[in-house]
Amino acid sequence: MASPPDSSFQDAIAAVTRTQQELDKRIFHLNTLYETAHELSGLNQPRKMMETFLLSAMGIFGITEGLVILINTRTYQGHLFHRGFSKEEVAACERNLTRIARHYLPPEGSPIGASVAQLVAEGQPNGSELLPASAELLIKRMVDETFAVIVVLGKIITGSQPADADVETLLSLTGTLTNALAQTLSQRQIQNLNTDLIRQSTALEDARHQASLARENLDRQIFHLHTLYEFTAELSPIVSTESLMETFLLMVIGTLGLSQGVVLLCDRENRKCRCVSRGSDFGAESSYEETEKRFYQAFQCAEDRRLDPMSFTFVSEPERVFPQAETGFPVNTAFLFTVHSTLLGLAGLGVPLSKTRISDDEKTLLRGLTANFMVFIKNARAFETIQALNVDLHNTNEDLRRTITDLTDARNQIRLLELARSRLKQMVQREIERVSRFRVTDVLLIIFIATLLSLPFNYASPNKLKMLPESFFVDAPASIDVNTARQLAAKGEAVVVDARPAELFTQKHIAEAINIPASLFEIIFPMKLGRMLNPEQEIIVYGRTVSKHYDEDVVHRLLQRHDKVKILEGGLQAWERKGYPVTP
Amino acid sequence: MKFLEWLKNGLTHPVLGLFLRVYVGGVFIYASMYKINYPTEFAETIAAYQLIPYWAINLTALILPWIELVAGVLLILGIRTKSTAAVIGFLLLVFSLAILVTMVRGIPIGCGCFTSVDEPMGWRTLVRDLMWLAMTLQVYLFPSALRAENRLFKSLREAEA
Repeated sequence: MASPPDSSFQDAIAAVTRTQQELDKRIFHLNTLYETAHELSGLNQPRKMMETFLLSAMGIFGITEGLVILINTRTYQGHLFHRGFSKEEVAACERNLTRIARHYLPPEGSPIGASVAQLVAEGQPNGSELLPASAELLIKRMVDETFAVIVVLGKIITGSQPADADVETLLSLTGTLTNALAQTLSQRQIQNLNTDLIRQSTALEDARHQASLARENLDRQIFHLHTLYEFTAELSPIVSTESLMETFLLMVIGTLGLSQGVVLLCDRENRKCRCVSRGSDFGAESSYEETEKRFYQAFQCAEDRRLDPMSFTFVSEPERVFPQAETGFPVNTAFLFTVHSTLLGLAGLGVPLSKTRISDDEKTLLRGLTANFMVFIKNARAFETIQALNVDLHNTNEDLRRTITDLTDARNQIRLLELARSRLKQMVQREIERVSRFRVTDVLLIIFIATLLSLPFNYASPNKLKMLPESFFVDAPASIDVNTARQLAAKGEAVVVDARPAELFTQKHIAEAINIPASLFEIIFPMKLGRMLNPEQEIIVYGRTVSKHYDEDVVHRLLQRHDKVKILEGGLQAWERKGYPVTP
Repeated sequence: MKFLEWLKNGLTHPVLGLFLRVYVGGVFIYASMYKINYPTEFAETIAAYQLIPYWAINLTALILPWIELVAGVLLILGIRTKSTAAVIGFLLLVFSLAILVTMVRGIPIGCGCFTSVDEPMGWRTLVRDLMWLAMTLQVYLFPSALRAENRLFKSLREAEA
């Protein structure tokens, strides 16, 4: 059934048509959106993306001028892509990027992905032309925390204002761009990170290699230091130069892996040389002159011709200094060292067992070892000097001690002599005093001397005198008492004899007595008594003093001539006491 | 006063000392000579004094002359002058006393000072002995010249110095 067309129907149809148009437009927009998104997803360069986006956006809405800015919100640097705007305008935009960003972009912390569109005319700051004059619409959106996209579009060809739906589509399109850009940027970032990672890994590898090299170096250094330490430890207790040389050579040979070597030491001050060798008997009988010559040759070939104390130098032509004919082994390395100006050292080393030459490291070690060796040699020399000085000191001390002993002895002797002198002086003094004094000893001495002289003289003398009187030794003769004697004498039967000397007889005697002194007996006896004596008569003798028994002497003489001889008891005194006659 | 000093100086003079020494010493040596040669006679002489016990007579007669001789020689030489002078002085004193005692006792004997046949003893003998004693005293008390021991001391002192 046909119905008349009315206005409402018409309106409805028109509305449907509009709707249809709207829908078609929407479909077109969506298609474009889809395609753009599809296209963008296949791209990975922001510039291409921006180009694709701008062309799509301009194409959809029939816009002739467009500008896309990808800006870093931190550094305010960005990429621009434009269509339709003049170069000058774009250049101005490029110059004003910072200002544009500050003006249009939301402050930090805005949500990522939210697109905002605004009309340029509304947003343009007062009095300034940040964007091209023909710019109509501006869309801004944060790609990520750092990057933002600003899309500036010019007028639509139709001259109409963009519809809200169009703007929405644009915003979606911008969202697609920013998503793609974000993805690309992420990829870029990942790529960058990957590149960094690879670079770092390479650097790490390099570092590891360096570390390994350093470690090797360190190990070697440690080995060298250890060798030096051991060498020092080994040398430190040694004080003799020969032992030091021996140890040094052994250490060098052992460390460098050699089998032969020789060390010479030349003492120019004392004109003495010392030689130590291993693996050959070189130098055992070389003289000082030969050694000095060899040193001269070595000095000629030395790399560094100086004689500074504690210096070390390699000899460039070792085989010239140490010909194989002399050493008995090929000398591969030789070096000269100077302990001090008068003490030089020279060493020649054979070929290492493992290789042909010794390395630079080993040369360094050799320098170190030699430096140590020189220090010890110097010390040893100092020690030897000290020892020599000590010996000198000891000898001097010994001399001194001997001198002191001698002096002490001499002093003691002097003291003794002085003592003797003083004693002698005292003795002399005493003697002088003694001599000038009276001393009983002297008297006794005189008597002693006199006795000593008298006895031998008397013994030898013709007029010898007996020590004791004769009567002392013979028996006492028979005696007669005074009365009997008186009677006998009165009867004439007895003769009385006075034996005393004439002087005493004259002084007093018995009246009828005859004086016959003992000393004159031989003369007087025959005169006075001899002839008148009757053999029957008694002879009565008297006369004795305290000092002499005269009667006994005479009795003994009379008895040789007469038998009856007696001594008068009591003598003259007893006679007188009885009152018998005496004369005078 | 001056005379006394002069006398003192004269009496203590060393030369006088020397003279007296030689004189007294000579007397003693001379006296000893006969006695040493004839000891028996000397023994008789001593016995005559009746002062010494009979057993000591011979010993005395033997030794006394030698004492006189030694003392005389030492006195002349000037050896141990003081002791020698003392010995001689003592002998002279003893002799003097003996003479005195004998004279008092009236024993008629010779002195026997030099020989056994001397003149009989008397006061003169005693005075003579006392004079000798005085001379000996001078020698004992004062230093005299030319003594052998002086020479000895002098040389000793020189050696000491």
